[in-house]
Amino acid sequence: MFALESPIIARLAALPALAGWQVRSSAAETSRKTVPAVEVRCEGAGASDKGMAALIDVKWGVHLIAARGDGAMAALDVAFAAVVGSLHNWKPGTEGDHPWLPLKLRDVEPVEIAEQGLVAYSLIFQTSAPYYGQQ
Amino acid sequence: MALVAPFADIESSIATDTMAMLANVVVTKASGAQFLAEFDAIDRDVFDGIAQVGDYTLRYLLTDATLAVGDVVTINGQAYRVPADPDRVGHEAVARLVEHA
Repeated sequence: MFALESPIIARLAALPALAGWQVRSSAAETSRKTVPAVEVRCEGAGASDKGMAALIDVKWGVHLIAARGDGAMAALDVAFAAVVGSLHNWKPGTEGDHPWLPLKLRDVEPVEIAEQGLVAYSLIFQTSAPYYGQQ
Repeated sequence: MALVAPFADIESSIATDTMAMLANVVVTKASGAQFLAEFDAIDRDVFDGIAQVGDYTLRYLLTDATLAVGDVVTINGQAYRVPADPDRVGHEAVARLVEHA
């Protein structure tokens, strides 16, 4: 279920628009004081019964974090467009032995502001793949 | 006969003496002017732990300094910016600071 994290991070890290951004996994042992940053995090999954298979719907959060300031929203806007352009309808193929459907952007969460000087924006993508159980 | 507020001088004296005793930093303004203040730095997780940020507050006497949004001050060699209006608390003000690149 978590197999897509590495390819998602690799795609985002390769984007010219995100040059200078720290692109990281939610599980990474790294400083989280660095900004601007993109953190990729599995936001959970749903499951539906498809006979021998369970269809797992996984949500991936792409969290954009920048320092507050006059240029913050413009920088986030550029990053937002780049992330959507890279991930929406991206076909990851088979990862972790499971064939994943194309990612779809499902939600954009309201901007969050930390009074300590940060602003964050979150994009939620969704994809699904069958996981087979007993025949 | 002019009215006199009897506690005003005492209150002001207490604030001045307390700051003189508790100040832990010398703050340097962009103009080069310096004043004493109480500085507090705590790292906090924000956005459900996605980011970590320093939470900096500066407490100073209103008679010693005036800070406004956008001002940059230096404390222990680090520059900080004032991102919002400081809050007045009696004879003092409390300013939130953010690290300034």
